[in-house]
Amino acid sequence: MNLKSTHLAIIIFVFIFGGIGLTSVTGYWQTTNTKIPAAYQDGEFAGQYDPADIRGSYTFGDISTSFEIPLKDLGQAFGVDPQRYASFECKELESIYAPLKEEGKEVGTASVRYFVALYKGLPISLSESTYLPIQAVDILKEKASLSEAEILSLEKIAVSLPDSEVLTDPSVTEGQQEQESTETISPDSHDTTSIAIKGITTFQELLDWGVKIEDIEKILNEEMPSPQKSIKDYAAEKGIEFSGLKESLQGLIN
Amino acid sequence: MSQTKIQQDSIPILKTTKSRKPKIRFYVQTFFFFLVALITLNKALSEVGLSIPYISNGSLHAICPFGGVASLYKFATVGTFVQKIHESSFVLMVIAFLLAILFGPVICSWVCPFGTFQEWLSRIGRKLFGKRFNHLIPAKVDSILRYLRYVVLFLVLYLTFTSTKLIFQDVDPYYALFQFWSDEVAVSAFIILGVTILMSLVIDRPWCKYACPYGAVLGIFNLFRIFKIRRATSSCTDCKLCDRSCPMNITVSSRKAVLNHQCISCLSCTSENSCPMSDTVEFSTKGGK
Repeated sequence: MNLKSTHLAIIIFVFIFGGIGLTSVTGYWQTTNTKIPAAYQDGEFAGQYDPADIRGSYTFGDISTSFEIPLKDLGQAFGVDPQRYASFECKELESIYAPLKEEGKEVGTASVRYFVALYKGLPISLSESTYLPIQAVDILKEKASLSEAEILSLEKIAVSLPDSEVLTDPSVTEGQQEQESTETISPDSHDTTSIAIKGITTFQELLDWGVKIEDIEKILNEEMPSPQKSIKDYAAEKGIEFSGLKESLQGLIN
Repeated sequence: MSQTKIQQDSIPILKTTKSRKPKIRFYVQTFFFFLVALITLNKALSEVGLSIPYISNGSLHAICPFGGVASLYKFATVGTFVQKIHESSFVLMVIAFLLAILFGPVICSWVCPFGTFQEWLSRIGRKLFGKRFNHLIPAKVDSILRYLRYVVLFLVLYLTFTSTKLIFQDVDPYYALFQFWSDEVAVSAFIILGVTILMSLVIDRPWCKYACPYGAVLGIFNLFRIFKIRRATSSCTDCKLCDRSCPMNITVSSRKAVLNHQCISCLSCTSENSCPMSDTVEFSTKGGK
């Protein structure tokens, strides 16, 4: 049997578009992700969703639904604008944390996978270049059941959010870190007055910057909330104007 | 009398002229090139809330059959695909394999937009270098380099299997060409695209010949494809036009059937296209008429 170009062209069209049509009818043809991660196939965790299958296109909302992690924890852990908690896609982290990438420290989808796995007590392996924001580490310390060794290794991979760009480099000793936490504030300046409270700034960051808990409580007129809470969230909860509270707390830093 | 007529009918006829009309393969290639371009454009538009009607807005990865190949290991072991790959890549992979079992790597020669892009560039190269075009690399070096794509294939599969990431994206010139506006394209992919563009001016389909891992996979099917390029030695005049027309530099004139792993089933060498003798170089099944 001989085949000419015209016949071959027709056959190619029939195979390609016929195949696509057939699989579309059966529902198998998918060009986008279903946003549902794969489950562990076997072992102790069989049937549970596997954080390793979280993709860059998953939103924090998708992850919160699949893994039953509060959206707020995910959002605060990665320093996301509270108004975008649900719609924030993991792959967007790469642009937020781009300055760290130049130093070989990556906060991206792999960090979310690692955070989710530790939060839920699920197994996962960590790549050498993957880091977690310090807020994520704090949330894990508070909410996940971690061993001492796990806490120690988490502290080694903790990095600060880019708005302050103070990295907790494991090679820096604790003493140096304490000194630097009040001195090295941003890459452009060594002046402590350049620390600026923003919407995503947490109470923990105030403490890290050397503000005493008693002074914060004096301004709040009550006990300080969870250190992981952002100042803006606290203000919203209490019905206080954020700008006023920010100004008072900024005074403590300055 | 009737016996004489039968004998005359079976004698191959020397065709004096070849049609100057663009061949049907050109139209098919152009169609798929612009279809893929529209899909990638639509994907970009969909991210800002716009869309082109009746065109898919899947990603470039979603419509690339090689994604299916790269996902095979993960699919077999975990039941999912590597990042950015979806069911559509798997469907296209199966379609491409079925076509390859029957006809060889027709996806490369009739469908792949990056192959088309290289062919378009080669038209400039032919004008620049004339008969030297596609023959500038010493045969010995060329014959060794032809196996490089299997090394690329092995590396891509190994790194994808171990990382479960689409490693190939960072060196994929096809991705760089169709996503040049995206910040997801690595510098390495742009460099390889640049090198491929320059090489396409002196060689036909340099990426396909030396580096394409998907071409390497589909090339294996040439060993057992059902339809092959077959040459009738009885009517062949040994003019070597079939050799000269082959973009992959295969010596068709010395074989009864082309089993070469580099053949892309473009049909350029056949009696329909280059061979001046009718029914002499055909794309056929064994003993096929």
